[in-house]
Amino acid sequence: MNEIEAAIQDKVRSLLEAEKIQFFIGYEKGSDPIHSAPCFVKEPKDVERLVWDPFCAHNLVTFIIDEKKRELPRGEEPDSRPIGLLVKGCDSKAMIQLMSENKIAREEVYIIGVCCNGVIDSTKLEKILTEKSIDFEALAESDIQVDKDSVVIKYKKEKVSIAKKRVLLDKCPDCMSPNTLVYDDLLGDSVEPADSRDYTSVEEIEALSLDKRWEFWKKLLTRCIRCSACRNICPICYCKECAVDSAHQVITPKTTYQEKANKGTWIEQTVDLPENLFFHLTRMLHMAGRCINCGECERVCPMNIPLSLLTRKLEKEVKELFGYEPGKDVDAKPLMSTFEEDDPGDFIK
Amino acid sequence: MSEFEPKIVAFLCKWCSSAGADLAGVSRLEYKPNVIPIRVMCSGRVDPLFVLKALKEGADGVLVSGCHPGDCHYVQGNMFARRRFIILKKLLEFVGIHPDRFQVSWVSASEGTKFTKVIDDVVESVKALGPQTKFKKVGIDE
Amino acid sequence: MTSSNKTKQECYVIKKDAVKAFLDSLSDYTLHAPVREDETILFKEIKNTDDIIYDFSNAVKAPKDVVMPQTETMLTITKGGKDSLVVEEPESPDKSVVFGIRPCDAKGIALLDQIFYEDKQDTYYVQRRENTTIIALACNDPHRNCFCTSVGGAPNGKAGCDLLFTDIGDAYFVEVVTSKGKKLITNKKLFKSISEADKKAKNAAHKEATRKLGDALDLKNFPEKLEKMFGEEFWEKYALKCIGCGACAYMCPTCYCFDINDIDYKDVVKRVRTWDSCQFGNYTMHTSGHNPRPNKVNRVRNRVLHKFKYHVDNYNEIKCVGCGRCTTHCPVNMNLKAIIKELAEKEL
Repeated sequence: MNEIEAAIQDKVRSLLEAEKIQFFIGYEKGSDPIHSAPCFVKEPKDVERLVWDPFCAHNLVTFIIDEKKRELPRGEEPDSRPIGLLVKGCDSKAMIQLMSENKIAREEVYIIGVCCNGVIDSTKLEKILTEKSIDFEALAESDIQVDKDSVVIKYKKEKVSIAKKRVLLDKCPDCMSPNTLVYDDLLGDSVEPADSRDYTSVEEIEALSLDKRWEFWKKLLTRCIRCSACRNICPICYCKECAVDSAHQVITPKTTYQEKANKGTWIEQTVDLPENLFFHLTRMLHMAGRCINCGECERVCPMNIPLSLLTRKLEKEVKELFGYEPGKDVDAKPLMSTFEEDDPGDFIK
Repeated sequence: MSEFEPKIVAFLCKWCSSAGADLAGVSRLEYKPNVIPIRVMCSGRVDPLFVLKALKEGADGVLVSGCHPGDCHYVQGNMFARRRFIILKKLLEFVGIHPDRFQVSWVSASEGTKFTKVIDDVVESVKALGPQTKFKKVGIDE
Repeated sequence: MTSSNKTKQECYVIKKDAVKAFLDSLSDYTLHAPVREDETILFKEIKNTDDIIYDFSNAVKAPKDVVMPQTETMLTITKGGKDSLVVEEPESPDKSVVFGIRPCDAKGIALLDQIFYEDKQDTYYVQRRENTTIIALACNDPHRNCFCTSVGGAPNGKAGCDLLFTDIGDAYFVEVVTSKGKKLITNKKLFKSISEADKKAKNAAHKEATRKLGDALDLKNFPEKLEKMFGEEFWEKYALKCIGCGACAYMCPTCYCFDINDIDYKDVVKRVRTWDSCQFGNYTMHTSGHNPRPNKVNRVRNRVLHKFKYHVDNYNEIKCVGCGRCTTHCPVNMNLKAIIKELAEKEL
């Protein structure tokens, strides 16, 4: 057990024993040695399940939104105590963004912040392990650490060192906020943030011709199966009714087939390129000036669509056009509900 | 085969651009008949979803037109719209859809001549691009 | 259904370098096979047989869409005249061959057969199914999340297969399972008779694969046990981290829920069937606005119960083939096998 893990467990135990929080959301061991999973702890005795390792990728802020959406069973009174939450640096930007949108109040969440050296992309690691023919069973008793420049895997007297960029999630190498920005307790040593964001991947696409760009996205978006994992994992997507779900419409015997066919749907359930494109563009438009680039949508996509290219593009444009960075300032007005006289308008005839 | 005639959906704000269209009409100014006008209360009312939906339903191009900055009947509706549309435009370009498929203009109620020019320009530029197929619903028939 | 036309076991061997010639000879059929797109393994319609990959664990998504496409037009309604409408059914599907499907996914299709053949036959499904020939590729190196042996399958299971290929080094051992599969074996130059050594190699490969899967779970009385567990509080423990996406259901070889929508294409209205998932909140939403499964705990429980209880009640078979995809691709790493294990071992 590492120091931070022990500190988390101690803190959570004392919080639960003092009944200061409803429950705590952290991470536990996942289905195999290269995954961790979100973990809900309600009883002090379960605190031992909590871990802190380089596979703690999930943005747990999502679950606060999720909890807010939960329908209370009849007769149950809402609990006014805060929910305990483990928050990494990048995730804390989501927290700030939600606070600035008045979606979450600060006192609703007890935040244990943790300074983070970067989290490992399990898919990348799996590929490297296969290349190096390292058995998964061998990793069961392993020690995997992320240090300043590399990821070090120690198992059975063996030691493997892998360059950070090859194995961390794409959001990590140029992370500008490795230290939690808003917290009640902060664990771990402060980590030096990157100097600047790296937009090379976005610029590579921008440099392509329109047709090439279209071919690129066409291939990727045809693959999309619209499982909604990207939308549902997103901490910033909190609408109860989503624009891309079929709207609720009361159907009576008098409802005509045209009315049924034309019911208020922006998007059809059919899965094909235009609908998929509509889905992803709509999601991005609703994310403009709000997406904090936690990269969760890309991580969870079962079809491996590099969605963070879109979110990074959005981040870049918002920064260049309006000098705005979401998730930075609780008091900042949301980008789309404010304007400046001298906003760029050259595109308008 | 007849020449390709693009279909343009134009969202016109009630107070300026739509009135501008009326002025063009009563002044007997001619402009291209390819436009399907949809009157909205303000350019700020135009959700980017409208634009995407129009493209999906088979429009070859979309025009949004509202009051000049500072002239908005609701004081600042068009200013919010401006922010939204630039993001939309950048995103459409990023996925490989030609920027001319979606255009924005400011036309005031007194600018009948400008209105005809804007429409003609939009029609011409979209005509040069040819039919819009990328975003069009699969199975939609002409 | 495939069970009726079983033939006496016929076996062949085909050299690995002859497989391409065999697949090329199937020009009357639409061929679906695994390809690698970027880093993602997918079943796709094959234009060029060079694209096919043979060295893979399993595709990200089960190839059930060959028989049950994610989007399927059921009928088209067009205006006939002034007051009449013309309703047209889609053309019957092409004959197709799926090559390289794993035995678990083939069994998944056999389980879908139960749903779409019993009581009333689902024309759309039946047409596709009758026109599809399945060439499975036995699993020699199961993924770490696989557990087919726990749910009545095997890495070399024949359920749902028409032909079963097993990798035995430089050749494939071919077992003919149905007469439909036999029809594909026309060129005897490619398919040679087997030797004792081939048979041994095949059996050794199957045995090794089964060994790699480890101990099977004991799920003998599990369905009855689950019945008593419906109201238990522990479901919440599993469900809390669920985010309610459809990744598990859409990847799953046996999930078959669908939604039907009428879609307006100006002068044409199409009735379209699309996949749906019981993990979506809207799945059970009533027109009145009431939702009988309002929270994710109800939905997660439903998924487990449907697979391990309701389907067993109706068809006497577990509706899970143990491919492990829901665990591999779950955004929050929900581990179905672990849940089943924990529940099966739980004292009531």
